[in-house]
Amino acid sequence: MPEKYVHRKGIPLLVRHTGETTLPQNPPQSGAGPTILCLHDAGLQSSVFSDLLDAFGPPASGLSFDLPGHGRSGSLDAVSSIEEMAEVAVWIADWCQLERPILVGHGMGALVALEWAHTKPESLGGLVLCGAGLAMGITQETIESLRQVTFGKAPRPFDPSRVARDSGPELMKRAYREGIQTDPRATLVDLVASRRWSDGFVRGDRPPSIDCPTRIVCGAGEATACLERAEKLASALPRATLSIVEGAAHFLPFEKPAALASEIRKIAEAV
Amino acid sequence: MSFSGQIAIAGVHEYESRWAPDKTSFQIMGECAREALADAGLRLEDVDGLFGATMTMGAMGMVQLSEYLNIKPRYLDGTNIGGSSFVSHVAHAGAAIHAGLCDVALIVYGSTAASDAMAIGTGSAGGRDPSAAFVSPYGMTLVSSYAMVAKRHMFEFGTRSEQLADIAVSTRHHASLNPDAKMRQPITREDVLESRMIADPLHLLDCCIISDGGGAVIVTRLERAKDLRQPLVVVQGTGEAVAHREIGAPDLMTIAARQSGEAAFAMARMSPGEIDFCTIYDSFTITVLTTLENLGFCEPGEGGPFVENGGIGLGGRLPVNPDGGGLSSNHSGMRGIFLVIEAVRQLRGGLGKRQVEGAETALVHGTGGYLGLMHSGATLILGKA
Repeated sequence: MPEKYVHRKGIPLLVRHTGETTLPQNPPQSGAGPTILCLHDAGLQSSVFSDLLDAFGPPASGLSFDLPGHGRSGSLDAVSSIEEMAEVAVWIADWCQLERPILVGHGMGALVALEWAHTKPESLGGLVLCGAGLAMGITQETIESLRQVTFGKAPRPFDPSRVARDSGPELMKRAYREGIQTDPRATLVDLVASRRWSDGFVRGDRPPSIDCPTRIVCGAGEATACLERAEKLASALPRATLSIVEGAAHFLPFEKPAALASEIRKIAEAV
Repeated sequence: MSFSGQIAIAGVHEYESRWAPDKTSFQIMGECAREALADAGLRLEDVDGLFGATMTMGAMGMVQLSEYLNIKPRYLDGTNIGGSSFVSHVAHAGAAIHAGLCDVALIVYGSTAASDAMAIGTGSAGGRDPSAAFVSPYGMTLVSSYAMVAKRHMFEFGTRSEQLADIAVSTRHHASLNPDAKMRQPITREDVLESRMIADPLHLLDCCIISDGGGAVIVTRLERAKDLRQPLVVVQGTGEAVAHREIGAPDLMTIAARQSGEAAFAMARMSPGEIDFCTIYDSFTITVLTTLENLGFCEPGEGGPFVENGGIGLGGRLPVNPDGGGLSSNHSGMRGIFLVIEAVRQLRGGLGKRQVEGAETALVHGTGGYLGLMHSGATLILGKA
């Protein structure tokens, strides 16, 4: 899949996109169909969407990018708020000349998509949110345990339950590899930002103004609490529907990329 | 005939970013070369000697580098003896310039070790080198070769983990004063001791970080440097050595720094007491401690008391690595060039809170390879003109 770097405020940001490679300083070419912009989860990077972008395929087009401090984008410091992450996403969309993309948000990326939908509803076509909920369920204990990792006092955690049972060793290895490519300090910043934003979301700071076609997609293998949060999110957004995908858990974008692509197409048709 | 006092370091540049996933090592080297030449007030066309090494450059690397930089040097030196290479390059450049083989030497390094996800410290030591035939089958790693030295030091002299931890604490304090450092949050002795054990007795925070990075150094004749842009920093002494072709030979407490340090002090006609500060390769905390002993800053076995409680911090008895070192600022695989760069910057002065007050003389020492196994050492003594 073609990759290219674009520079925002002096920081190189890695963009992965469908279609042909384009020259430096030139945006990727859009296909004839709908365009998706994928927003990654806390502590992850755009590579989690590579199978999804392939599955979505022509004539549709899509791209994903690594936030600052994540994956192969530059900067040691991550962006410290969901609001600023949304600004980065909007800037990427503008640079790539995307017209009303469908935002595909995974975990924290779903919060970024919701923030975008709140602040610039006219500039997007729809929302597909996976691995997301009304609240993110990020506890102080989770944050403190990650802080221990950043001080070198604990190894980086890996939660195998985020991959569906019986997925096989390759998907489990992929999940592990995806989880070690971003500095844990960036992951810590992500979690703090996500919790702050989702607390505000629960308080009602955002939902009333979010009114676009929305699909909440949840892996059936997600923890029960995650499924409940997804249901609450679906009921909180006026035009949202909930879909459960069997054989997947939190890493839905690469566990069942074809199924997720199918859900995206439904939103594209609705748009 | 010695070139002591006749060769100057006229330009330096350190690549600011510690994370450059969008760059290649040659790009980093090119950018550093350009900036170091600008620092000196020279142009690329002035370079007629090229010195370089990287983690990945192959047999034709120096030729490729010359082509990449679009220069045709009349003197090439691709000596690669690990992390100490660039300290050694300054000595080699001095000798070549003194012999009339070149006039402006560019020493350059670049690495994307972090964004290439290199596991430098936990890689195996010795490889298939026949001399390591009795080591490699047992799976020794790089960090464990240093841990073995630390363990022996504790056994011989009663050195404690707390004393090693104080090296990491002082270095992190220095990094907190360096806006470019990768790890800037101050740490305590307890933080070091409570960090994960990597190779007993070395904890995670006893180990250098992994970063991207690079740098360049310009060396020329003192007389030419007088017409250039920067305050004069002069090479007073140099020395090189190798040690430990097999584990424990001759003993783990005597490292290459003993020989290279003696040579450098002899050439400079100086003694350790005349040095104002040091930049010492800090791949691990034990590297600093045993290097200080072998260079003669303290007696064998006295390294622990020498470094503890801020002994090597700014304002201490001998400031070491005021930039934050490899333990906290940057370590992109071969750190020697940063030792030279920081020593030059300190001698020029004006570094704000991390400036070593009254810095007139500096000792630079690089270690390359595996301290408890086979390694190289290179020492420089620098001073103001």
